[in-house]
Amino acid sequence: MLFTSIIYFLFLVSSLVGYYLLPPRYRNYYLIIVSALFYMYVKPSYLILIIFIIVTNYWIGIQIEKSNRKQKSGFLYLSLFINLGILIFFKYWNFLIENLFQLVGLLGVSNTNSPPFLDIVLPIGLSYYIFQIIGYNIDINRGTIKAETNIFDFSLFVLFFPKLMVGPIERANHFLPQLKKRILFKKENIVEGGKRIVWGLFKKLVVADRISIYHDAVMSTVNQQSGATILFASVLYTFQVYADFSGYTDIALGTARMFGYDLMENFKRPLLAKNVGDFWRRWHISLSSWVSDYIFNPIAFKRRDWGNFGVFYALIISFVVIGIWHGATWNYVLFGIVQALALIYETLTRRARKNIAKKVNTVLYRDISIVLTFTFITFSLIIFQSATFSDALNIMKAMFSNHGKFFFDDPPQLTFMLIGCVMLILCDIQEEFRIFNFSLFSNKNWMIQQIAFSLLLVYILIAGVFDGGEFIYFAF
Amino acid sequence: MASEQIITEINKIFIKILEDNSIILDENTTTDDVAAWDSLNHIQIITAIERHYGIRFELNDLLNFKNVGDLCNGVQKKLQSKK
Repeated sequence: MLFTSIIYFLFLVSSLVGYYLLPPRYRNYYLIIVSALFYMYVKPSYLILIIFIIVTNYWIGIQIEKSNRKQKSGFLYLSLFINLGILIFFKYWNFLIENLFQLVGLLGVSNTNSPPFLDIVLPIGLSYYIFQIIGYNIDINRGTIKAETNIFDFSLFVLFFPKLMVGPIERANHFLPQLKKRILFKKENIVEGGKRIVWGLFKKLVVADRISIYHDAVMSTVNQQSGATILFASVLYTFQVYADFSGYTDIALGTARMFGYDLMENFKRPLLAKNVGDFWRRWHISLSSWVSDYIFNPIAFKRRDWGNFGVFYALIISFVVIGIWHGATWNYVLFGIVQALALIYETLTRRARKNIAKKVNTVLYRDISIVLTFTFITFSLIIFQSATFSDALNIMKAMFSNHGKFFFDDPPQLTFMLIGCVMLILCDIQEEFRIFNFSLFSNKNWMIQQIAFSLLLVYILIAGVFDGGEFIYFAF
Repeated sequence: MASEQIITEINKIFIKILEDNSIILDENTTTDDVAAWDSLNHIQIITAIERHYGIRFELNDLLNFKNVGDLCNGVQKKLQSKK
């Protein structure tokens, strides 16, 4: 059920009405049922899988807490084995088998059997909730949280439908305490949640889906397009991925807010990042902070006597995990490695860059840094979007060598989309730097705010893409 | 060792690692208050503190450091257990 579909909004409104009609003590039980129905919408049989995951991890969490130090590790490994085993089976099996067969072939062993590929649908949101549960078990093992003893609260911690499909990857210490409170109806939650949803719809339907049409048209005929067109489409793709994923997250956060829950923020104006490290503190924060807490910090700490090399080693492993988290293909692994190399470069040049910054005007230095970071991200996303490394190279080669006319496709639609991009980036600039004294969407005057959101809704209806479209991050 | 003295010494380490003379730490300072203090150089700071005092932290100690005050208490505890 896509967050932009009519059926989703019918589902949302009807579940909200039922939720607030029930006495507060029954509301969480009701949310579990609603979330299970939401999950079953794609493939009912996968409900059995998620129930298995919930029950085993509920039990393991309690076992980790009450065991002695040695047994604790045993239960944690059991949890990792089960959770990663499920994730690998559904998401990485074909990738592993294919590469294993290729490796065997390279070693000269003759093998006439065809690889045992699996033809299965990835359960929705699997990568998101598996990471969330692993984090939960590690936290209990570290003693930073208590195991959840109420199976219903634990079920909702995993199942809560607004975050089920595309995160954010919640943390136990942030979300579990919220489940203990009785949620009362507040008009403010509905209004603020609704505004967040409208903003998310704008990002998704006007910016991301409009760009998608143009970008796909350019990239499917990349060898016939001019370099300037390919560059333009690549820059737009950066906006697309941002608008797509953060738009979806806005709808998730807005929906959760309507039910009285606060999910963690996943984006903090990433296109205005001043360096690559800064970008990863602003982009898909729930994943990058997860990797930082559970992979980077333990490895870097363990290898701290290696000096800088320990940090670099931890960076490469962390970013390979971030890369491969997106999917079982080599382009994602390479995307991760490129990010790690950029961070290593930034670590090594920190002093030199600081010296340059001292000599240049502060605002100019900042703005140049933002543009350079944006450029790097745009080029690294060429790897991200290409099926193979040679496809990525082909796009980059064509960008610098092809001549010809600029591809306009459908000028009115292109204009709608560009207005959308400008609105998006201006809102981010305003939030980041507060350069205007006037604000539309967060104006203190209620009337101005209502007019702004009404106009935005009208703009979505005029300029949005309503014939489907797919969330990029839906596939992860 | 008094906690004020530890904060003063740790402050010097922060200035040296982050190359920023304007850093002034107190017990309530967190990573949000010091612009350059990120997870990449956090490990460098911790290692420098360990070397300065001749102590060794566990990963769990690190996880419980929520601000500079916790970090100082951590140093103090390790110094006491060394005696």
